[in-house]
Formats: sequence, structure tokens, C-alpha cells
Amino acid sequence: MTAPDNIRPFGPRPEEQRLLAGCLAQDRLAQKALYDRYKDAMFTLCQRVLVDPELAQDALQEAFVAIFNSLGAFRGESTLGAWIKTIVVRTAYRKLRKQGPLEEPLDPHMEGESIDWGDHLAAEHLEKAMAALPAGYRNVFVLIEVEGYAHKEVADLLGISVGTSKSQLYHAKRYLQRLLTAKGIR
Amino acid sequence: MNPSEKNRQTLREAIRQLPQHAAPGDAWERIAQQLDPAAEETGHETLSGAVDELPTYPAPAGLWQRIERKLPGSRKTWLAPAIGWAATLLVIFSVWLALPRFELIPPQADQQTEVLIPDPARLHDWQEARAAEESLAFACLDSLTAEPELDSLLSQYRRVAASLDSLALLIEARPLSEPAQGRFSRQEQRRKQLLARIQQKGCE
Repeated sequence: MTAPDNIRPFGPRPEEQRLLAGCLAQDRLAQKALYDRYKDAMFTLCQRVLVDPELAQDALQEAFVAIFNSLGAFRGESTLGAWIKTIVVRTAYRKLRKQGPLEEPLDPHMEGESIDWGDHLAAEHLEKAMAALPAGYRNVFVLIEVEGYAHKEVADLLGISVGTSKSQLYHAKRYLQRLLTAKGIR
Repeated sequence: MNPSEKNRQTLREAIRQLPQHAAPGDAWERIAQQLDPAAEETGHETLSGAVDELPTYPAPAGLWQRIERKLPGSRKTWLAPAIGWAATLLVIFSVWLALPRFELIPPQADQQTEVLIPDPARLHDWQEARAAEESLAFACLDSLTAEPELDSLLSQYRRVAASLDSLALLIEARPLSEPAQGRFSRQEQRRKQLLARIQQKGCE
């Protein structure tokens, strides 16, 4: 049994609907309210993927302009937040690719190591280690481990295969572990 | 044992004795890359815990203003075309103002000079001569009080003293005693009146 067309499984809540209507009518206050609601989370995502604050700022700006310009295309097939995040991720990924190729060669010394995160890992150490990851690894690691995307979603978002996503994550973790060990954190 | 059964047994024995090859050393690594890495991790909760504690970074202040400027209906989006239109209109208006001056005003320029310094060579026509004379007379009368330099200007004209007679001569006017005739009689009357007024006022 399929749901009628007018019922959206993830449709916006009434409050979001009002916000959406305002944004679609180019109401600046509504647009600012929407921006304020998601700006920090989205900037954090951009910052983690791109590392460079200036690039992250540019990505967030580009993403929100795109969001407001294409809000009419939001069909309520996901939550508004998820839809916004999709645009932010794609914008950040585009910027990342402009920085250089993402297919980093594998480090042969990492082959065969097992991953052991130990008993405790401080967030600040993880943050620094993530920033030191090669861009391609970092992107997939952030999206899957931090943002909670599944491999299939990452594959769809970035236009890569599920296998590539899994491989990148695997190597990201190996790399991370090695970085943390080298710094004596683990 | 018939021959065919014996053959099958020989084959089975040969297969049993086939050597077993070892799997390549990196086979598992290749497989593991395609599996969920979390399955072979130790202390995955540690990583999850650290991820949960990662900070959120505040978006830079002033970023909204940058975004706002790029949105439809922003001040910039209507201001830029408005400035463009205003500049275009200003240019058109300036050209409109300038054009008549360039086209219509001769190099010798202003009207006052033309009135005060008539060129006798151009005044062969009676009507033109009288019109110029009238203009001169009016200009003289009007400027007696308002423009004291008039006498000086007149006297500088071709070094001729600015007397009424000399003015009349310059514009080829007929003497006052000459009777009016033809269709210019009324204008002639008018001319006489004007010259009389000039004499009374002392425009010499």
C-alpha cells in the first residue's frame, strides 16, 4: 500500500512549514531564521571536511545561497535539515575536489594493522588527527563516523561506489590510528 | 571391479592428492576493505564517544550579510540596475542639454554682443537693419541704469564714438527727417520714437 501523494513521510513540521513559506516568499526574516537554525551545524561540517576556515566559510555561503535559491525544489521527501545538509555536503565536496585529487595512494606501512581505539580517545585529539587526514579519507570519515551517513548515502552524495566509500573509511581509520599512535596519544 | 568403476576410483584418488595452495597474504585485507571496518575494530565505542564529544564551531559573524547580498530581492540586486539606469538617464539628459548649445549658438556667441556690435555688411536689408536698430535702442535704454559700462562698450566699437548719429550710420539707418514710406512706415515711426527716447535719456 502506498501513501497518497499529499502525505509526506518526512514532511516539515508546522513551524518549519511557516519558515519555508516565508523563505519562498523571499521574506528576509524567515531566511535569516532558517540560516540561524542550521548555520553552526553546517559550518562545523564544512570546517571538518575542508579544514581551512576560509574555505569552510565560502562553502557555507555558497551552500546557503543555493539552498534559498532552490528551496522551491524541496519536496519533503526527507527532513528539511537532511535536505539542507545534502546541499552543504555536496558544496563542500566540490570545494574539496578543487583543492586537488582525492585518491591518495595507500600507505604500505599501514597494511595489515588492526584497528584498536583503546579505552579512551579525547575529542580534541581526534579533531586534530582528522584534520591531518588526506582529504578523501577525511571526507568519508567525517560523513560516516561523525555525521552518521551510511555508505550507500555517501556513495550517492559523492558520486562514488559503495566499495570506494568503505575502502576510504577503512584507510581513514588506519591512518587515524597511526597518527594518534605517532603522537603518543594511544 | 569393472573397468569403469576402477577408473572413477583412480580419478578420485588423484583429486584427493592434489596440492592445496595457500591464500595470498593480502587476501583478507582486500576483503576487509569491502566490509564494514567497524566489525574488526577493537574499542569502537571509544571512537564513538570521542565523536560525540567533538565541538560545534559557530558560523562566522557577518556571513549572513554576505549571503543576503546574493539573494534575490536584496538591496544590491535592485540598487545596481537602478544606479545603471540613473547613470544612463543622466548621460542622455546631459547630451540633450549640451546639443542645442553646440548646434545653435555661433562662435561669436551671445546675443548681447550681436546687438551691440552689428556688422554693417550684413545689414543691407532694410527690415533687418531696422530690427537691429530697434534692438540696439532697446538694449541701450534698458541698460542705461543697469549697465553703466554700455557707453564704454559702444565707444570701443571700431573706435567710433557712440553717438546716436554714428550708431544710425553704422546700421545704415535713414536720417530722422526722411519721410516714412511703403510698408515700413509704422516701423519707421517706431524707430523715430525710440531714437527720440534715447536722446531724452542721453544715451550717447
